Amino acid sequence: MAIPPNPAFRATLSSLVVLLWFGSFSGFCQSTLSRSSSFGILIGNSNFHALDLMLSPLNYRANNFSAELFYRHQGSSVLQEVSLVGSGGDINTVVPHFSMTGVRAALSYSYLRQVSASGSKESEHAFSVGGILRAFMNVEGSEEQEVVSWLVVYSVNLAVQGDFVFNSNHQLSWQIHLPLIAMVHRPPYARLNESLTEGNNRFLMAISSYGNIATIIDYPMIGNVLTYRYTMSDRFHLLVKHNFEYHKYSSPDTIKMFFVNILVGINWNL
Amino acid sequence: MKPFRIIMTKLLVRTTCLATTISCENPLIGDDPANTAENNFEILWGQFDRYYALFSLKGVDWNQVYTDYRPRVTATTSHTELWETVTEMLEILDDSHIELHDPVLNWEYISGFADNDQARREYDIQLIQNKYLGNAFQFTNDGGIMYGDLDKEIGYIKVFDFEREHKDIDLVISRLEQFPAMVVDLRTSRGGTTEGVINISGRFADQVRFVFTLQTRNGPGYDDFDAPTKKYIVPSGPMQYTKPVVVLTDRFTPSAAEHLTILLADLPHVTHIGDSTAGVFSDQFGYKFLPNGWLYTMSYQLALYPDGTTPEGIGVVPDIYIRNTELEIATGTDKVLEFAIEFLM
Repeated sequence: MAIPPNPAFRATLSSLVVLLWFGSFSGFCQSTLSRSSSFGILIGNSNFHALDLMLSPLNYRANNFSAELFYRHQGSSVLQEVSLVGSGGDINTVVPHFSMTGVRAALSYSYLRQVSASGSKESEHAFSVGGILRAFMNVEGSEEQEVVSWLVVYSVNLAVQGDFVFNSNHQLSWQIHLPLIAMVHRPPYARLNESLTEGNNRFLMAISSYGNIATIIDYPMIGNVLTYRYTMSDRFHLLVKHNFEYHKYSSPDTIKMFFVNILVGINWNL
Repeated sequence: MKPFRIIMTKLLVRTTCLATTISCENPLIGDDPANTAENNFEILWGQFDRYYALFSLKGVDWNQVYTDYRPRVTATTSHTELWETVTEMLEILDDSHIELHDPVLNWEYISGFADNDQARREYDIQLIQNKYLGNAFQFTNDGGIMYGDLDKEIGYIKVFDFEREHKDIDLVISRLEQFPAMVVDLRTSRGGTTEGVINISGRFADQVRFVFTLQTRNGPGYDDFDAPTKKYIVPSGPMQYTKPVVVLTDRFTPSAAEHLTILLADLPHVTHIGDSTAGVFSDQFGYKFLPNGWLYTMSYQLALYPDGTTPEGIGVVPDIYIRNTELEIATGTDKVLEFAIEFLM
């Protein structure tokens, strides 16, 4: 994985390794997290930054509306979650008259199994490891400029998650996920081949072509999700979510992007 | 639990800092390229080097072009000087699908435009409307086609552009079907998309015919192309006009308009008269821009006839060459159209 030369980034990853090692010696205890099925909705802001050389040598930036829906089932030792998150709007460069429209969305199914847990009256924590089946899409384009570019990825991600219950009302989850294997779709080398764009559904046809199998070596990606959950009642929780993702892919021309979604919402136990 | 909480706090702070600060942009995706004359030149030259499809066809050594022009751009090169340098460089490619625009100063450059511009001066639509159609002409609903008759003996269709799908072509054909011959005038027609080409060509096709291929550049090598995509003329619509037809073109018949020309010219009942078309068969690359805000586009495809020759840069060569002069147009004579009428009579 090509880790960006940022000391904080490296330190975070190093700390994660230490934390997982520490967690693995916490002993296997019975679950400290209550069983539940819940449904949640969040809205907020997506701070987006991208360099896509298929479109421009300049970086695009945006603050776009973002929303997320999820269904979550917390079993005695297994957490399953289906979520759909999306954001979009105008994206801009330093050149003022070339704004484009950008849309990002991810549909994912997570399966995480608890590997360790411990607790006391003061706090409880549990660590889980699992996988995420994920479809991610980032599309940017401008009708005026007659250009469109995309990064569409279907991936199996490795995920690790820590759940920390500070007291009966406050809970924090921290998840990091990385792709184990992915099918990555980018535009063809020189725009669209006409044979793929004639007729109906041209865009769907185009983005379903040109896929390449990639690992984290070819497709460095990391997702970092922090979720704070405040218990308002037995059925309702207030959620604050901080989702950071970084993606990079170099074919046929480089795209590098990251975004930070900060979302607020509620979930209710079913 | 204190050490655990300290570790947690540090991790949270670090992660939050990493993920929220704007200063992340530089290490994660890099800085914007500097808006300097040298950088703009390098990016423009590099994008053509990477994507332009016709270097080999046109016999242009793009690296030699870099060697020749790069020294002319320095840190002190002005906006205007850079424009002059790069447009002179792009003129070498003589390809009117290469465009450069400065949307702020409203500058526009089209490579190899001199021939096209001259052709515009050798054509006058009002002359045709007044003298040859006797002011009895109609337009399709979308305004993309003008049609009428020439002395009530020959049908006349003028296609203005191919930005539209020309779905009213059946109405036009049904109105002109009574005439024993037809002129399809593509002089100064502008380009567009393929839908209009398919719709119009299908109303003249007698059978499915393979006419030419298009290949798209798909790699860093100048001769890296994908497999040829075959282009056919295919009958479509409720009726096909298969009586004698003359297609008129000039050097300002570019892109989609010459796609229609190449398809129609393949038909046995069609005679191509006028000047060669513009010779730009590739689709245009979507507009990209430079750090200084200039927009550019280029050809990224190669068209070939089935025998391996190409109309790129040459155009579709007419069966009968004839062109107007500015003086003839100014004195009220469209010699090309009159020749076509005489030919069909």
